[in-house]
Amino acid sequence: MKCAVVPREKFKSAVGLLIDGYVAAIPVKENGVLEYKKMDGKAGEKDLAGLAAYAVDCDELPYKSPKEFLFPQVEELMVFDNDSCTAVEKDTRDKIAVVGVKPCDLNALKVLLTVFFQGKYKDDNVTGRRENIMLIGTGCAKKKPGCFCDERGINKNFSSECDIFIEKPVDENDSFRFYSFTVGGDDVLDRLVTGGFGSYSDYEPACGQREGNGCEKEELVIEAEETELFDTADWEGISERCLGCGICTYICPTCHCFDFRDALAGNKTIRYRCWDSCMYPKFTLHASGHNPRASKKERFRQRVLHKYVYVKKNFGYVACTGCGRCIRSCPAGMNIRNVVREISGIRV
Amino acid sequence: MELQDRGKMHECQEKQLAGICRKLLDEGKGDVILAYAGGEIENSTIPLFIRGCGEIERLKYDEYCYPNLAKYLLENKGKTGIVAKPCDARAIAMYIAENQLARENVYIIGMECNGMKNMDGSLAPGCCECSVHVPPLFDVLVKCNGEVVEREQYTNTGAPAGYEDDAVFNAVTGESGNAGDDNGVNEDKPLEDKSLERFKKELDKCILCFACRQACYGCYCPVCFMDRTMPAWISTDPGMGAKMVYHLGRAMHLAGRCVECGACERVCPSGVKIRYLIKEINSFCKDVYGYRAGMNPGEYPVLAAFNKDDKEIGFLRSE
Repeated sequence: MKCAVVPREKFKSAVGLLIDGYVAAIPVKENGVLEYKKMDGKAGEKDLAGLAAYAVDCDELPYKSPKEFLFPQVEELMVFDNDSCTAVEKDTRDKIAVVGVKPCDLNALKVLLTVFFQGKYKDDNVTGRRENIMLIGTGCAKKKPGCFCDERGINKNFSSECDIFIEKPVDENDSFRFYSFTVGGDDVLDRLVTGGFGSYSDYEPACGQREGNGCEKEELVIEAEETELFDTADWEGISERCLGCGICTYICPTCHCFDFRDALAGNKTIRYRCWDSCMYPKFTLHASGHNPRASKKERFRQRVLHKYVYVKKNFGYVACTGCGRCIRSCPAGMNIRNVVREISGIRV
Repeated sequence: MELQDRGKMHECQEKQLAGICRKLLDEGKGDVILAYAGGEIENSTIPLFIRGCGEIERLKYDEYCYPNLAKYLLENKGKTGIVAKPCDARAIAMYIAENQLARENVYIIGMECNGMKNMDGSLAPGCCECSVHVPPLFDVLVKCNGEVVEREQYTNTGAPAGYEDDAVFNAVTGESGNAGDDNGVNEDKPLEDKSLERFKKELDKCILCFACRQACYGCYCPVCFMDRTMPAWISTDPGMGAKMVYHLGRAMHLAGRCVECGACERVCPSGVKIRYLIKEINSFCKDVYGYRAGMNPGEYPVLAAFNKDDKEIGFLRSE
């Protein structure tokens, strides 16, 4: 763990040095939608350092979470025909630097990695990708409408769940602070300091000291057992407005359900893995035609209890970081925060 | 119309709405009333299911009432009252025409509408180029000035029930019907760019989440063809081929059935603007068959009707 102080005027070139040698994934606004874009063109063609510096400075949340860099929407696993079967080589050529990831998303990626790595099954595809990714985190200046990271015990100003965390200056005389939390991050900071872009200072754990948002406690949790909520909560009333569009699961930084499919390509078959969504009628549909989650009531119950009860029981974390994406994007105004408050006995 | 006038207009309408809802519940005309309540987030509203007088206090009607309510009618909730903007009323008329809903089971509180806004204050998609300001179907109408008109009274005045009589409407509101469209598409203007490139450019953004289908008034099949697994119609790989099958398939299924509410674009998380395709098919149905979806519940759906005088130019539009 190291901390380097980078003066304002050297900030842009310092960020340029960070992403040098990586394919940079930078939030870029196009047609009003802020989205991570992989910049795999030649570095000279675009002002990558400028874009990255803007992304660090930008105080908005990209509409999709950065989970796709660890857990892509579609991933080919093997190709087979009548005679042979070959595993698809993992694409490890690209080293990706994901720039400007906010603390809510950083914590969400931690949950994802735990699910894919620490459980009964280890997923080499997902965890292998982590080694090729440099996560560059940054804080949020203010809460956006629908955000509730504070209630989920997440400090919007700081997170150590990344390789490098960039802390913005608090006032005009202040400088940027680059913190490193991994071996890879330490190396980059070394290069930065030897390159003359900044100087080391005593590591100062900013969490809690720098205007934390009073979030050391996870307020929004479900204490009750699953069995207490499964049948007693009014799931029908809670889910009445839901249209089942599933957009909440696609943009959620922690949703990680997947499905396996086969696709024909010539005389070969490709088996691939793709995102699934508990909001869909096809989710966990049995071959017999029976569906244990036949209506939106069961599906929405699965979504809430999975996030707040099942993952916590199995892996120790609540799989919701309060990024508020699902609340902002829902066409019917569903609000997971209010639902959790309601069923955990705290009245809104 | 000035912005503050708009605010006042919705205030008048909201006040009348509360009265109408109370009356409906008292008279037992509705087991549930579909309306709007204020959302958690500023400048948003959420659907509200009113089942008792207590819930009427949560009722809200302002310029952010963009969520679609009519789709809940398909869930058979018994006798249902509904707050319906023109697009919602058109959806109801379409459901009645397509035998999905019995007219006597729904009490329509029509709202004269000048367009709704997105959370950021811009005009919502669909509202930008909307030319229907009075619902074509209603039991009671709440006008912009707060005046409440029963269906019988309204037809007695001889005014056309909601057809694109912009002249009448504009005389009332003093505003031009077409507020312009920042998406570069206008219903009445010929499409500027019909190229495959434009289509592909829009599809590039699509992540095949199917949210547009779920939000759409016209998409209510119990099992969508995209959800069929035996056999599967497309792969879930969001490649260009799968996206084309989905969007072209949906456009064809919506031929002459789109009520122009704009929900598909509003719900899209990645800003795919594909409505121009459906609009093109809509204007085709209007030009060739003189049909507009949801304008008349008694009219046969355009693709379900056969008329020997129909022009035979087909979908490819080659004369």
